[in-house]
Amino acid sequence: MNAMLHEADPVDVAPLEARGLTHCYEGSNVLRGVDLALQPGSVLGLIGRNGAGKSTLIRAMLGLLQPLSGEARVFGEPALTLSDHAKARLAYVPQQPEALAWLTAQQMLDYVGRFYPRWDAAFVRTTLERWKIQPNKLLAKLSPGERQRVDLIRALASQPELLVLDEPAAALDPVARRELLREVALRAGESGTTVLFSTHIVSDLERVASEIAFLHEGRLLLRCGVDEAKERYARLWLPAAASVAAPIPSLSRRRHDDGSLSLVVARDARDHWPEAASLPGARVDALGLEDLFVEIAE
Amino acid sequence: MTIRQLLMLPWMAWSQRMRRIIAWTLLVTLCLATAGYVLLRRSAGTGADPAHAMAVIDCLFWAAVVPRALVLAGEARRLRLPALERAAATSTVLYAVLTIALPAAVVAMLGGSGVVALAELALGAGIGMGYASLPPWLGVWACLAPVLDDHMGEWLPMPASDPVGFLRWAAPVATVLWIAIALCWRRAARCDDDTSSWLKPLALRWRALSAQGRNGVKLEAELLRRRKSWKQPDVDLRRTGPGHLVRGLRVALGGWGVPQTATSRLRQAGLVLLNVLFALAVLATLRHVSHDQPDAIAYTVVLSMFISAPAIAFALGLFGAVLGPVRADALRARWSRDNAELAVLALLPGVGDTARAKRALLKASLLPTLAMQAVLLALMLGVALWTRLPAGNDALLLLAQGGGMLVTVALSVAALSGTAWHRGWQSVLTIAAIVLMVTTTAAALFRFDDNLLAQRLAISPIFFALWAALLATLLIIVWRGWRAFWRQPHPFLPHG
Repeated sequence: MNAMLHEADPVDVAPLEARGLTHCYEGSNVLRGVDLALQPGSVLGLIGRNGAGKSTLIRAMLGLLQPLSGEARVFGEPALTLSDHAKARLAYVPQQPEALAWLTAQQMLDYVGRFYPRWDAAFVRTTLERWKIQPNKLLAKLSPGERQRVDLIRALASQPELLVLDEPAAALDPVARRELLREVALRAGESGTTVLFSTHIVSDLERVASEIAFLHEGRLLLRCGVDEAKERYARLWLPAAASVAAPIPSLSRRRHDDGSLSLVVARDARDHWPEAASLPGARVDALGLEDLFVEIAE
Repeated sequence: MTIRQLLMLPWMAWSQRMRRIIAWTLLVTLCLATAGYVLLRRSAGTGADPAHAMAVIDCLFWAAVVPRALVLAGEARRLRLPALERAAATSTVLYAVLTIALPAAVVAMLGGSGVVALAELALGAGIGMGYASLPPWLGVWACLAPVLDDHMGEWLPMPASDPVGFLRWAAPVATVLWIAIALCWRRAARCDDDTSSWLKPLALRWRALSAQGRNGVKLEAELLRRRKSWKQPDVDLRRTGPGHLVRGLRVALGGWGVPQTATSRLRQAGLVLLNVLFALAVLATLRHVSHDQPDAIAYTVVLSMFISAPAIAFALGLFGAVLGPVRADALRARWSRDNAELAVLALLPGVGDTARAKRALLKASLLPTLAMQAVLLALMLGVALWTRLPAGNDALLLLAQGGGMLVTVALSVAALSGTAWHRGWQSVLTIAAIVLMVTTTAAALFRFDDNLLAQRLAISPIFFALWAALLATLLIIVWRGWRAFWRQPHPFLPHG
């Protein structure tokens, strides 16, 4: 009966959704009312500076911590009380995996694999070989990069419909990072896996993400397609004389020593830049993702 | 560097808090050791020998404090700070001047033999320093120094009886000892961070472990990383999975509750047995050394306590008493990390609904410890029957081990539920519980002046009041923890 109900899940249910998530650690707000929903098959890159709240947001969305307020849902179920069916469809890799250090890589994968109905043992075998990880070595004795790769194998071998990766490339060398990104892109493209991954490496985002969400000081500042971000946002520079006419809504605002002003502005609904962009001396500079990130985060 | 900075150098390898604790512990130990030494010498009618007393103090000081300079020297070398490395060596020399040369000079000025005092002090400090900075299999023999100190007079000339004869053997021994220490220092300060090396001194091994801080899980990971493969337990993954959830969770909880293969269990038991045999061999050596000595009776009493049936039962009781707090501490550490087992367990399918997961978790975390404590209790009661202890004493054993099991439940449930209570109070309660359990077990098993202390303890109102207070506190903790545990949305939420 349970299975029948699950099969009847509406196709457009967001695999991962957060509404008004708020959380704080030791009195300081880490999340301030975050709303975020992933569409099935999308690859969302969550970007933000260290301490912006990315890991906390991911953990709250997956029910790994109880937020102060707000609600998170996974495949339509409350994240804090997920059914086995929902859990079998998702995989998560934390930032620095440290779990089950007393097992060997092979033992850990065998152990975890017993719980997943669609466990791909062949994938485990071939990927361990391909990534040159000694299966009989204790996890505690692996390097951080190897450990992260073993955890990625664990996540991918369960053939998830939703893959959540918290800074997956942090401990990986460039070759391993490329391989991981290729694997993520492949899963998203061929199997329709929904992917959420956090990073502060902008080039990773450009390589695989279809959308980006920018988290800053616990707030989601922008959420859009990767290409759209490059076209929709720009830096508006206004000379000192024209700075009083600066548009009020802007993602960032920085005044220079000479009195001139730099702002990150967005096109309006009619695809126009703010009026101030047409003032004498004003300049609109296109921004790459990295520049956009730096402009907002600084 | 100023002299004050040089003197502070070994202390700087500790945190300020640790520094205060070590300093006070050392001060109290030194005062007690000095007072005890003077009293013993007076009661033996030999009079207090200041150089000898200072040598004992030097031994303790050089074992505990000065080797920290070695730690600092090693780290300075790795950080490419040659000035600090030189300062660490200078600091050691300065301490040698202040604790060896200066007291010897004072003895000489007071009319004693400065050279004999110098040899005596150098030997004392060398034994202390050797304990921490020689390879452990050599340094550990420094623990026998007090026994040797008491009985060497039978075989070798000593300063009080034959100063010239003493110098003849002590001066070369002290010289060789210090050369060995210098060589080991040089090697240890220059070696990489490979603690598995059998030459690595104890001071550096402690440093490697204490660097992991108070986080039990980090320390566990570090120990796993450093342990030789043949010492690692082989986890038995048979009968784990959704169909055998409790056993599966035991694998994920780690520690000694992990299911192991039979070979692995045998190997682990063999390692414990080897350690016990080593301890017995050391005790036998002590007995041999103290044979026919005037104060041999003290050693005989100590030895009989170690090898008698009640002593074995007491050891089992002691093990049972510390088992619960140790296991609960491991759980608390596990539940304080958010990127490890909890994340895996929280998202693991096949665990079932929240209630099933909670029940399985309680069983997996409590049952191995409680089963072990039950086995220990059964063994203790077996010994009690064999030694024909009165029924009242059996009841005391039951009370002590039953209390231990309640401690296991209370602390574990508090750890799993994240019931907030001050860590300091938790430590006070744990220590108080262990002391009470151990005292009760000792009272039930041992005789003093041919009388069982139990009879006196059992009627003591203070004894009953202490037990009543402990049991009441534990029950409150269980009740609070139990309610909080079942209120959680799922049992794998970290508690920071």
